[in-house]
Amino acid sequence: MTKLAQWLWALALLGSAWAALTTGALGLELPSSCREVLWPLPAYLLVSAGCYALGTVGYRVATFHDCEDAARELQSQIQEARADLSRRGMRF
Amino acid sequence: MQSGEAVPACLRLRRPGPASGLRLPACHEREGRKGPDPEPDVAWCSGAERGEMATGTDQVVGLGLVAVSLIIFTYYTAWVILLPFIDSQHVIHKYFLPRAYAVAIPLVAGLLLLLCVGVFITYVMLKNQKVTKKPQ
Repeated sequence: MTKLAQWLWALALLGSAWAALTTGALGLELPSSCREVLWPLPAYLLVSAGCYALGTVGYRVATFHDCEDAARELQSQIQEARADLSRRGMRF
Repeated sequence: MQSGEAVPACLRLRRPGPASGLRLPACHEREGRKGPDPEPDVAWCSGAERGEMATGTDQVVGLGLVAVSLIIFTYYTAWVILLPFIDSQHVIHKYFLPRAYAVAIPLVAGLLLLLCVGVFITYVMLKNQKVTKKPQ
């Protein structure tokens, strides 16, 4: 089974469980505070997934290491390449 | 000119990479110290604005993002998960909007995001079309 199929299965399962519980189709008598928590749950999961993504991106940006030597060497190689290509006739 | 595609060792987080044409020195970790100003058209370094390579701004922006995401997460968790279990006469309910907004605000924000992405894509496509039409 492909990853997409797995994800769709999981989503369908959880979605139907959530729908069954919120609409009361199973006939369960949940306390009202539990129902209050249950119905915004998909939105909550989406927002928390978004927050996790944002936080991870921010953390990686903050802890990224600069490579000064590598940068300098890369720039000199770029100059080399530019000189070489313009010698062969390429216009920048 | 060498044609290698290796990434410098210090940029790869944890995995060893293939050795190929582009030989780059191993980079040791340091606290953010500003490097030499690169050429304005070299913009591959981390989070760089054109012509600037400042780990200081990167750290500020990154930590700001982390802080924003944590704030949003804790407020939203308190709103959705904790509030129904707190007595409705408690003073803390004053700091939270009515519950319907807990779904409405993220929904509207998501739609706005999709709108912005769509507008940006349309703009780029139109610009490309004009560029290809002009030489004709």
